[in-house]
Amino acid sequence: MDEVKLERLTDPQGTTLKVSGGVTICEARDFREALLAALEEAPELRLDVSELTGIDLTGMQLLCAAHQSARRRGKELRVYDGGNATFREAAKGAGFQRHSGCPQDRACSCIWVRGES
Amino acid sequence: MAKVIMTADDSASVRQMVTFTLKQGGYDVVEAVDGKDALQKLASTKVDMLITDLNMPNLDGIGLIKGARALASCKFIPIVMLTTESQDSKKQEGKAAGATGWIVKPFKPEQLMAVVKKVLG
Amino acid sequence: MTDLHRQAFKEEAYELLTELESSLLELEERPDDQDLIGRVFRAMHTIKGSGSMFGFDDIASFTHEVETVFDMVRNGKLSVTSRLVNLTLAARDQIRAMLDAADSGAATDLQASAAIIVGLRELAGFGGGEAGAPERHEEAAPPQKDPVTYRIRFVPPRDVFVTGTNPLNLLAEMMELGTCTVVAQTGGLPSLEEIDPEGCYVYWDVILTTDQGENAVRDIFIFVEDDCDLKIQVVAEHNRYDEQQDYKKLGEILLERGDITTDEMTAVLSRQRRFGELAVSEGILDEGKVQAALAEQKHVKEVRQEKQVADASSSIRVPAERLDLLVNLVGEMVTVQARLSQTAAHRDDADLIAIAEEVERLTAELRDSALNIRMLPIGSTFNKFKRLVRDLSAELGKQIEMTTEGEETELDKTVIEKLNDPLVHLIRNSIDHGIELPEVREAAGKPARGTVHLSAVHSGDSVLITIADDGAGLDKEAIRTKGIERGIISHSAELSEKELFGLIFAPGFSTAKTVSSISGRGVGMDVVKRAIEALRGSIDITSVRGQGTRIMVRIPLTLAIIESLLVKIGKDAFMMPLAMVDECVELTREDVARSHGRNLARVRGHLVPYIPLRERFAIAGPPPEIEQIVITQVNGTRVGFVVDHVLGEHQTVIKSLGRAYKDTEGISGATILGDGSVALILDIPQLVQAVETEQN
Repeated sequence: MDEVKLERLTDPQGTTLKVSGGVTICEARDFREALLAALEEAPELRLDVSELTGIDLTGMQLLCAAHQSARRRGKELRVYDGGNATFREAAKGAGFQRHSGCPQDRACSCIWVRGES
Repeated sequence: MAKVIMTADDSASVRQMVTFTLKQGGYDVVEAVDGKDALQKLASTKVDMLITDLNMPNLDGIGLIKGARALASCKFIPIVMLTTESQDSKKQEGKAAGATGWIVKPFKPEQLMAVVKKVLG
Repeated sequence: MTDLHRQAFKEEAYELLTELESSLLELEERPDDQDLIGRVFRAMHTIKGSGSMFGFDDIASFTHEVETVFDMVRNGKLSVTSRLVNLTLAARDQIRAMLDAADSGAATDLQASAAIIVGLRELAGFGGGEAGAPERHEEAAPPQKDPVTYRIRFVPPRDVFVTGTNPLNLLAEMMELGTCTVVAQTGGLPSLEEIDPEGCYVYWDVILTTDQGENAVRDIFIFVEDDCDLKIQVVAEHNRYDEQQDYKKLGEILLERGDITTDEMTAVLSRQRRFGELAVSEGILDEGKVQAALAEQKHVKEVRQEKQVADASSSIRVPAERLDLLVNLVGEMVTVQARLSQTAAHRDDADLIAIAEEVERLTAELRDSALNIRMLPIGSTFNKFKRLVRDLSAELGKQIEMTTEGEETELDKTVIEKLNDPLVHLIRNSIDHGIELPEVREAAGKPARGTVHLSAVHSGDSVLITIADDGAGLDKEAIRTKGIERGIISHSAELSEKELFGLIFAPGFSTAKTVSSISGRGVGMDVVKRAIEALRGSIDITSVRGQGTRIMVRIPLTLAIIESLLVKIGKDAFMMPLAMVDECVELTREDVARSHGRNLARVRGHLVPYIPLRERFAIAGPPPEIEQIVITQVNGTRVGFVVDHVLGEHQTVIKSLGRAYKDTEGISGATILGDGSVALILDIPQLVQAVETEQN
């Protein structure tokens, strides 16, 4: 898997955290730190996974956890995958795809909800 | 980039068979003749998986598994032990030390490949 | 390639043997040297393990013996003596000889091997016995034919990653087995602040349809089954009799999974909203669990649809009425054909006879194939019963497995429909009264799980359906006592086992008037018996106390046509189903006079009661001098029917009597004869019963 790269861009609309390469358990601690730091910054966090080349279960768990934390803080977290098939396949293979939200998510803002991917 | 698998076994013939089978399956292989040799090589070489015998001189398989799990680079890799039918308790000991799974000797090349595919994905 | 590895092994083994020799010699000097002992053990271990890998099975099993002894030495259970060293050296030489012989084809001295093994075993303190060969792996069971849908809940431990296990690989393996729906349950995920990024917080509900069998599914989890929480349940079997359209309701699935309790479900259902939404908004369930249950519904429906599409290509669906019409027309055709044959015979016209014969042949074929179209395999009915057994046994706290056999056996569609209720009743009886509670079974030395075996098999022109359980069996004494209590038999009655068991079917015997949750009404076994008889079938019981009960139901293949005996009383013609007829005897005026109006005839020394049908049906005119008694057998009792003449056997296409005559006592239908006249078909069991009731 390719080395993971975490880039943070801040613009007037909010913060974008771009995750590219492969996210595995070896980078899970770093990924969590990056997500936490990005959440601190702006009211709206955009997660760009369009150039992700792989994500394991720990990565997906962290995305869910980040979404939960964002909601608790009254912030918004959106995932942008740019049609990334690898990302969508991984989510499907792990059974994360959803037609409605997750247990903690009554507002239907779940990051995994999208058309039949 | 081909994935790298280490085989640790004091039996040259088993090592040869494992290496031969894995290479045919498209993997790169690093050989180690016992536990001590394996740990030394693991410190400098990054591998994606470890296949180890249990009965080895210098450092046995259980010791190797514990040592490997203590290395950051091997913390989460699959480790498969080769056991014989008389070593059922060893399976448990190995699992407790951090092994992912096992292959019972004697095994055929297909069985080896099936387990590698299973744990490596 | 194998040769290459064999060669490598031989070289390695020679090297090890050389080393072993020097180790052993040193060991004789220093018998307590643990390092030396370890080296000897390892050499043997390697020769055994590697030898078995490369096909040196004789070496492997021989070395195993030596290894076992040195394992004891290693663990301090045996000390090193010169005798041990001598034997081991001999063993070493023997292994070497076996290696030399291996590829040259020369034979090794088996007696020498045996002598060494015996010596070693004596030392170790366990003499005798066969030389143990390494165990072989069990061969994988052949894959089963029909796909089965499993519901799998896989909960990995929190620290699953530190053993190098990737749960996603296991999910991927399941996807390779068949059609698979995976729903991750993320309800336990903490927030980013609290999460351990290297822990696993997710578990999965998987719905998998595969024809590889449950073991193949379990094998996927072989390395983790001790550490994880794994539940595998069968939710649907998709054999070719799987005709159900609707799958379980959402609430039912959640209940089965243990995600919701009955009380909670009832509470939710009492409100008129969509179940899933409501349960979630009430906080009883989390969304993930409802998602998983919905996914299961969708999954099973899709699998079934796919199957139906596949089945449809080779068959067409036709409304049953059209088939009934066809069979009716064929019936009329058979009748007309009989008239044609009769007429042709009268005319003595060779051409006409030839045509009539040709028509007869074609009509017979047409009749057979028309009846064939209505035949259905009984499997779909059996499938429904599986569900019944499952639900009932859960309700009663019993463990029951239902096995089936002969699902492909075909029966007329109408027969199958009418068989459903009686069979449900019989199976329910087996479960209720036959199979004991698990504790009781274990106490009796039987497996806790009882079996109800349902089978169907063709036998002549009928089908034999057997319901056998391995339960408690019938209690003859209790039946007898009850029979006397209910006034069905007298105190002194001596009954054979068959007659005794037959009492169960007597009207008024059954007290178990429980309301069945299936049929919704309380019925006794007499109702079952009448239903079977209405199908012109019979029912039999055998039972061994403590071992089980077997109920055999015999049913004719079709209701549309019967072989019957044509008889005449005055000008009227009647049909008697041939299957029930035993024999015909003459009845003279003297016989009647001798019986003093008791309607009993002496047939070969036995008295047989008879029913004069002329009286019964109030047919005018005097009987002939010599009448005929047609003796029938109904449930083991012989009863005669007095008629004027017996005309012969006849293939009868049954016509129903129409609504106005539907309940006419003693008549079950009608048929049209070759000359266009009508003959009534006698309902023999009903006639016998009616007469018995009148006499009592």
